[in-house]
Amino acid sequence: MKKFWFLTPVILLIISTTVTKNSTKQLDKKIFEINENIRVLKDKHELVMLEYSYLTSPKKLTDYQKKYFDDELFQIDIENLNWIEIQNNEVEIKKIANNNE
Amino acid sequence: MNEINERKILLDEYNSQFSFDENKSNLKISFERVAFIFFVFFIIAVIFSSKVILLSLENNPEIKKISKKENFRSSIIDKEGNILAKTVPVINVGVNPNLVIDKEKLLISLKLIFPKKNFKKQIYGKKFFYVQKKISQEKLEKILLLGDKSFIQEDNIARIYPNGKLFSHILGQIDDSNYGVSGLEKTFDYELTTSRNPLKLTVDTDIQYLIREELLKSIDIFNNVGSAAILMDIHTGEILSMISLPDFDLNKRRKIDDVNFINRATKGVYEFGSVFKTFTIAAGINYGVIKPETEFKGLKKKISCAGNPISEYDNKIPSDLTAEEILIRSGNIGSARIAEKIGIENYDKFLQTIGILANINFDIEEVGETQIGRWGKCKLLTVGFGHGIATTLLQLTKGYSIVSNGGFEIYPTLVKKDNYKKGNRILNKEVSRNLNPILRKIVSTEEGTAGFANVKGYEIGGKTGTADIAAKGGYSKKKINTFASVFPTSKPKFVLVVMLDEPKANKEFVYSYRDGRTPYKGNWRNTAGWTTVWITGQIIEKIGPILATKY
Repeated sequence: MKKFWFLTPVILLIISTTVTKNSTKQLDKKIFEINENIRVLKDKHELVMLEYSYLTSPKKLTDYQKKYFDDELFQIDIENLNWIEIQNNEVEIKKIANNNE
Repeated sequence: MNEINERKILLDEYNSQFSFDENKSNLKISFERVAFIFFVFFIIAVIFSSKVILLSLENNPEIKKISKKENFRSSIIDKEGNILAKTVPVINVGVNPNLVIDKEKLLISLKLIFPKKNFKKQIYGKKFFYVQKKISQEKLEKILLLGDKSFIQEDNIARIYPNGKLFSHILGQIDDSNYGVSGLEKTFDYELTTSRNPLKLTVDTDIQYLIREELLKSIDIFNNVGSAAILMDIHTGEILSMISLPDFDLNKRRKIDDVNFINRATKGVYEFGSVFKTFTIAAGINYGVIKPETEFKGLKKKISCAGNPISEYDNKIPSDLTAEEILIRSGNIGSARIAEKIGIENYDKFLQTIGILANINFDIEEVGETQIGRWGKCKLLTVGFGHGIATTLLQLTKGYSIVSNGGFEIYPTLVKKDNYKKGNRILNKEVSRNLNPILRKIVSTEEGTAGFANVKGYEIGGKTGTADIAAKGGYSKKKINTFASVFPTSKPKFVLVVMLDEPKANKEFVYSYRDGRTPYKGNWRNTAGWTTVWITGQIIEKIGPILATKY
């Protein structure tokens, strides 16, 4: 009887350790797979970003502007630019340019 | 029993053959030898252990390189997240001629895939050769379809720079073994090859492009051999743009050994001339020696120090001037008089404080050192108006930032930091309060030398500097024209310093005035006011709306 009380918890502990270890292994595998998928997606995202950076580089945009919108796009004078601020449901328009002089 | 006794006796006799002294003597020698050997091993162990401890304590990049990842290098991105440098996996294809079975057949096949290349010599040779590095997927498939075992594929990486030349001096280059050899690629080599996170910079691609375009135009107008510009946030030290021309295409990966490709923004050391007068006035205010309204009467047109003449560049400058007027009209004699009042000790301390004389700790290794020589009475007078001292454009930008930001310490940086800590106040707050309105007057008044930079809406202030380039035994007629600008002067936020290296006066160029005056043609003056200031005005006109709306 004494042996029974001694062996039962030992066997139970062994079984529970095995089950826990197995499930941890499964979880580890899943985490690894997800991490790998994220890594691949990140790589793809960076490649798309590289293409985006190239196509939207200032040089390309200037070339597009010259080619397609030569007469339509022009620089706006800073004095014609304003900030729109909404405070307490009231719209306030402020000049961007410093006209303190 | 007798037998046992006999044996015991024999054993005793046997033992008695060894004398106690002999044994003691042998034991002593043996112990010394063991102790000596132990001592030698102990010393070796101590030496090796201390070396291991020392190496573990040292932050040696050479050691870090051991744990470097093969074929990997993180991206570098700008302030907005645009990619400035990215590594992509590539495949190199080569042929081992010893494994080729039918050389003629392979030669024909290769000619069909690569019509412009000729491999005849290599195929009939014995050495391995590359058919194509960074091969396209389409051509690789064609090669694989040939089914020839002599083809060898090699996985490699290629660094792509979508902006080509735009950031060449900032980013630097890497070698074939994935090691950074210059610029940020070198300084952050360990971080780039071990961390998966991209390196985020403080630079803005759009602003960088616009400034570069204007500097390129300056070559067409003033025929200068080079130029440089730095745009810095005066409160954080973040560099929004840093350009040095000529630059080079990073994608071509060629060896740069021509001295003309030096980084003029950080490495080139120049005598900048009158832009230093701002520091003279600032030092005077900082030590309470002068106020903007302090009068200097009876200023001569020419003085001499140790037999060397010091004269005004313009004889129309009045003899009685206030400290403010000395800076606005860029008076040499007046500046020398103020420097004299400040004294060598205080002026040296001031230049150390604002980072002109102290070595700068920057993100790239290509940094020059200020040259001043030995302080003396004459040196103090000449440094007072910006001669006899040569420094880098980066240090000049830092100095202007500190004197105009309220006197707070800043550390110029190209790499974005997560936590920004405001620096300590190192100058009297009166310095910026008094100095910024004077800088504004240099641009906005007729007496000032920088009227061409008076772009409406930006409150630009600044100081011009025209300096002769030092030559053997004196100075040449070649110039370094600089304009250090601060804006908006009522609440300064940015410093933009532009330098043109060896510009020439353009007699055909038409200067258009912003206040509606008749355009001016036929300039013969090769001064900063007629060259660099014009370019700076054009730059601020282009980048101003971006700065005003984004920052």
